[in-house]
Amino acid sequence: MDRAARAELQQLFERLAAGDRSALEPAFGLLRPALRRFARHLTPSDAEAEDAAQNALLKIFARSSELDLERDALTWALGVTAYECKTARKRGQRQRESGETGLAAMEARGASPEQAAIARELEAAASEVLGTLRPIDIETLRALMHDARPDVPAATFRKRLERALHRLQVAWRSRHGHD
Amino acid sequence: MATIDSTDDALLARARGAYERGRLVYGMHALWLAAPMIALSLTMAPERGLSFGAGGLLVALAVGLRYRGGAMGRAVIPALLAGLPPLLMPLLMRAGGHCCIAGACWPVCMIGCIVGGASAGLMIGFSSVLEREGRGSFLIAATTIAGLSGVLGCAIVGAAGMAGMLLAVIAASWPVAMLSRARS
Repeated sequence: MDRAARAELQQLFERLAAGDRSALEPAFGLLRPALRRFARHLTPSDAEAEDAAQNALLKIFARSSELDLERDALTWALGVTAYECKTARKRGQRQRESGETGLAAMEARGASPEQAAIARELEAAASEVLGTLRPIDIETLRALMHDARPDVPAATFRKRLERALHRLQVAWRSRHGHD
Repeated sequence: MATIDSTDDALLARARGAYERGRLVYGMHALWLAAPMIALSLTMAPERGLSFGAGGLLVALAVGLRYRGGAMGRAVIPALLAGLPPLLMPLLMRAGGHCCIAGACWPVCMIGCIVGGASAGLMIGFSSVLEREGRGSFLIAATTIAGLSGVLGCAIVGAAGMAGMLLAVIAASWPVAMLSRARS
């Protein structure tokens, strides 16, 4: 998402927070592809990414009236999506543990060998970008992924997570040219 | 701007539903302030029917306007806070007997209604300064909600107390709002 679109999204969320219903459809149009792409980077399959992005979208619009206008709307939306991806991944992991394994499970999930290869490439790209972050950001993102929050107040962790996600986004954009 | 294809229509409809539910929850946050005010009035005011009526109207307006949004929605919380002096002052001063000013004697709680109403009016007037658009809507909503909050307290004084409080709210809020508008 470029700077102009990001500013537009911020304005749309400010209007939504004020109760302006006409801002919903354009905000949806801007956010939907961005969250889908972001979720695809954080989940192993298209199906899990789609589920996570949809759940995140519904939560974002449900909470948009209470958005703190000092906060960046996109960073907040990505934070919500990251949590949804974590939930989707855990759900998928549980399903895989209790169900089939190996190639049969992959086929059951609808992931072709080509999709698996793409997923591996994306994972490698994500690892590369993660390597450019500060240790505190990596630690924060790892804590989010493994649901192991460090012994800090919730507000401090939330702020750290917000900063880490923002830096991750900037690093990804500088390497790959898009969000 | 990205376009929405037909497969996303269902998701957009669900997002709309989620937004409306979120607005309703947001509107209901006003109950954190309104409910204790109504409970206090029901406990202390002799006219429970009036407290029920004014309280019901206050809840419907506060939740409905916050749900709807805009300048009227933004007026709800400042107005409920502004409604605290005309609610509390007559209830706290009701055992105070009479007060005579310039030869005229009034029950102290009646004076509480008028002073509380004037305080509410000033608070509303100053709050409206932040409104760049829709200041008129803000003032109408805020005056109504603060007035209803005041009725919950001034019910113990009767019709004269409520009328005095309402006049004081209007007399103090609108001139302050107009003056601040002229200066800004």
